[in-house]
Amino acid sequence: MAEPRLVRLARHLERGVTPICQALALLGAVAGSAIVGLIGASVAMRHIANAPFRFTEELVGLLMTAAFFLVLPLVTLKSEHVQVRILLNALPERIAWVVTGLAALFGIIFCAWLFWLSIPWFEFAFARTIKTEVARLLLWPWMALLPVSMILTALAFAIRGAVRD
Amino acid sequence: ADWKFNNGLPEGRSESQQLDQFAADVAELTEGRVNIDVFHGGSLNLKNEDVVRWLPQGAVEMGLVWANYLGRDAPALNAVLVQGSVGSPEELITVLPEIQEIYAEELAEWGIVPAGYMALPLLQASIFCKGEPVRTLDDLRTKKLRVWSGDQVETFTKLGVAAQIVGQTELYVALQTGVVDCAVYPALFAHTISLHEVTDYASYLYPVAGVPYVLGVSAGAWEDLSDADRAAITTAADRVWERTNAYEAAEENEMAARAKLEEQGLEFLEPFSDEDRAAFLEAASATWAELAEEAGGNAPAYRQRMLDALGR
Amino acid sequence: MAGFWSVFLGGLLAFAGSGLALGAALGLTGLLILHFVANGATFVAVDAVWNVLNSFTLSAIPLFIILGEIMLRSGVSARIYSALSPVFMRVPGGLLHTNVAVCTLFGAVSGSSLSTAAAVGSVAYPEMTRRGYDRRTVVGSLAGGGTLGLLIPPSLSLLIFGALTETSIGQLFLAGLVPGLLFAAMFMVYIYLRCRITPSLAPAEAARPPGREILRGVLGLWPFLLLILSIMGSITLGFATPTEAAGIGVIATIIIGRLWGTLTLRALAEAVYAAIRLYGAIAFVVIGATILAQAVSLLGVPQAILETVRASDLGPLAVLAVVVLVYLVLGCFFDGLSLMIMTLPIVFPLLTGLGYDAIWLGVIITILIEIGQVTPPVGLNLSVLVSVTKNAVSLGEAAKATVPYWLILLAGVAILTALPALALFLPGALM
Ligand code: NA
Ligand code: NA
Repeated sequence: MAEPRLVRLARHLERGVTPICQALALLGAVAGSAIVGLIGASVAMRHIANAPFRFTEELVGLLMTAAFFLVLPLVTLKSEHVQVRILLNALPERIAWVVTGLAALFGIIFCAWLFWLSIPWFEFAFARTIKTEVARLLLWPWMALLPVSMILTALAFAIRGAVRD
Repeated sequence: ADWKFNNGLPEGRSESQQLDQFAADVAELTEGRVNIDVFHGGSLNLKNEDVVRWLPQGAVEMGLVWANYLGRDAPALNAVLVQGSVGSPEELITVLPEIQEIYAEELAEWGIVPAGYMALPLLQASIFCKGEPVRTLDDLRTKKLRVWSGDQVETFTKLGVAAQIVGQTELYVALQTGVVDCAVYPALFAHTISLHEVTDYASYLYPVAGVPYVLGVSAGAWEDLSDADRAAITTAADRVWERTNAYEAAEENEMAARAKLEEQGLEFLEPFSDEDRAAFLEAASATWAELAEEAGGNAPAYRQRMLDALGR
Repeated sequence: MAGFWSVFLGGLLAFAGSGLALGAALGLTGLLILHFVANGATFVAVDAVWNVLNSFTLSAIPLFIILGEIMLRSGVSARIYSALSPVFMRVPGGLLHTNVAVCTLFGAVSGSSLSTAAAVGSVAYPEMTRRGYDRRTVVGSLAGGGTLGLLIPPSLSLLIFGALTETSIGQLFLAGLVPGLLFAAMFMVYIYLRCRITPSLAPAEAARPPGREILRGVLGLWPFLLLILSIMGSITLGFATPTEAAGIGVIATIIIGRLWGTLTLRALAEAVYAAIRLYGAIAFVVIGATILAQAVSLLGVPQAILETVRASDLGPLAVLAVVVLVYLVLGCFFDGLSLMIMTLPIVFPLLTGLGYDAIWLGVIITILIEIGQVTPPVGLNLSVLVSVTKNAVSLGEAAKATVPYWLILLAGVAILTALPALALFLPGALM
């Protein structure tokens, strides 16, 4: 039986989106490595030069946030999330199949909602050029990752919902 | 109306009891038309640093607004006064009315109505150290110092002291293990984080520039009230100011706090010398100017108004 | 209130039950509560997400996962477990005991039970399943052991408790130590008994090597001991804060993996990539739980429940029992620290007012929120471990395997109520 057009479209989309998600996840891994390097350098500076970096705490927080938003689309695309499957396993196969589609829809709604909420939140920081308190790092470039990540994650939920294998 | 009041301070603090009294006064003065439920200890999970985000949007109707929390979102408010801006408790008391005026002007732009103010107790910042006694800037230059704000890092760096910000929850362990040797802290609040358990000596350095708390109301909630209820809330808030803007017992309280710490095994040394204290205030003054400049907007003008009020 | 409960329970049931990623299910429920019950205050969700991801204390978690992945891929963990397994050969439970022991040791380094579970789990799980240990039993021992991170000092929950209630942090730390060790011992006794009854849970090794060889194997672990020393030493000697120590640990692991193991640059890159993906899965649950907790705390629901308890005028023991019950139920839906911050302003004056000791109460509440860390659906320790197993053990299986540890923690509350001296003796004697 030929696949429905929607599924074929989703597979097509997946081929296109996967490298983007992988590239972002790779960037996330770079952010993770940067945390290690930064902490190492900071501890060394405190003990060797008696001049600790003042921005370590803020930058580590931002890098960690960035790493999460960068890797989330790939984690979603590869279905690596923690799930509750008890109810699903108890349902008859056909109903479970429908429910899985619903779950993807819920996932899309969550991401779309958070995306929607993040727009005024981002504008607040962008319009006022808000900076971190100690290191005076401009915040909006970091904050922009949230809406971008939500769009891609919603797309990943949609692909997984359409291609259920 | 049923209002929620977000208070980030622990329930046991005297400020929290003032807010409970405020809520009781409001209920009485409005004859039960406005009931304020005060949530202590940050139990609503709203962060102090985010107050200009959640309060104007009406997540709750009231919240404690403190300019020192707002270095990120409202740097101009934060730069009105920095640590070391005032050289004595008298100077701080002198500028309090002008500060309130500035806050009222600035907060209007954020959609926050100041119902009134609550004064901090007069606090004296001491340097708490473990191991060896430290009571000169020269001693301090050989130590790692914990501070709580960015402007303090600037000021101490100017003085050649390696200062770093350590979060409140990490401070105890950081001192215990020696990540830092010393911490700036007011003796009056030292017991709240069990500072006497991890330090051995303390020496007074400067008076804390304790800017007042704002009893902030979300502008939307304020507009929904009748004139009479608004007046009642303002009256209750004014009483908070009257009760807290009293400093006769300040010196006595400070000495009692120090005596209590000594009882618990901490030694209170002579204060830092006059020269050292003057050097600190001078460095802080330079930091203040830089910070106001950097914050931009109204910040330099606010600083000028403060300087005028101080007669400098 | 009826509106709240229907959105809360209905949302959780529908979204989590549908098999949706748990983080999205919790977050969506939180958003619905904020939208329909909390006057549309959905905007607080974004700040809550941002704040929790930016907290410096949480940063230890990805670091410890990176550490575990490097050890795994450099062959260091395999060497450690090869050397250790003959030691525990004759003991029913075998290497399962090392999980509890290492969690105890690790608890002395880390202030959070989440990082403890992440750190020990990411090293122990792959090695032990490879050696034929029952997956669920391994996860149970790690989830249980992970809770020790909060009770054995340093402890994030005791620090926050001390700051919010103005009780002595030093006394709280000392008070947590004996109960923490007691729990570790009870966990080990349980593992021993369980594996005596069902020996297939832990594999039997073929032949016991001579004692000399065992000793040589263990002595060969010195680079690993050096790693533990570098983490613990950097904290106790004041070289680094507990959070920084995780970063130092990663650097030490890279060095050891290179010199002692087979770590290549490629393996290192793969380890970091795999670790960040694991972290993404874990952090998604954390942010979902945060949105839900933000919604519920904004409504003041736990406070309202506890106010009812306060007004009920029961005796001290009955009030304590009800408070424990409330924590057990709320613990299902909230992660530990946000639950503690929500409830402390009421529970602390309520129970100290009835004559309970403040230090003792800090220990009891820490145990109760530890229990919350291992009860589904929002048991973050469980979520971490499910991620570590790459979903080979489901959340339900993990929860079931952890029930015995849950019961031991609960029994611990009863024991400490009967014998408060277990907690209070040490601070009384030393401070
Ligand atoms: Na610990
Ligand atoms: Na839970």
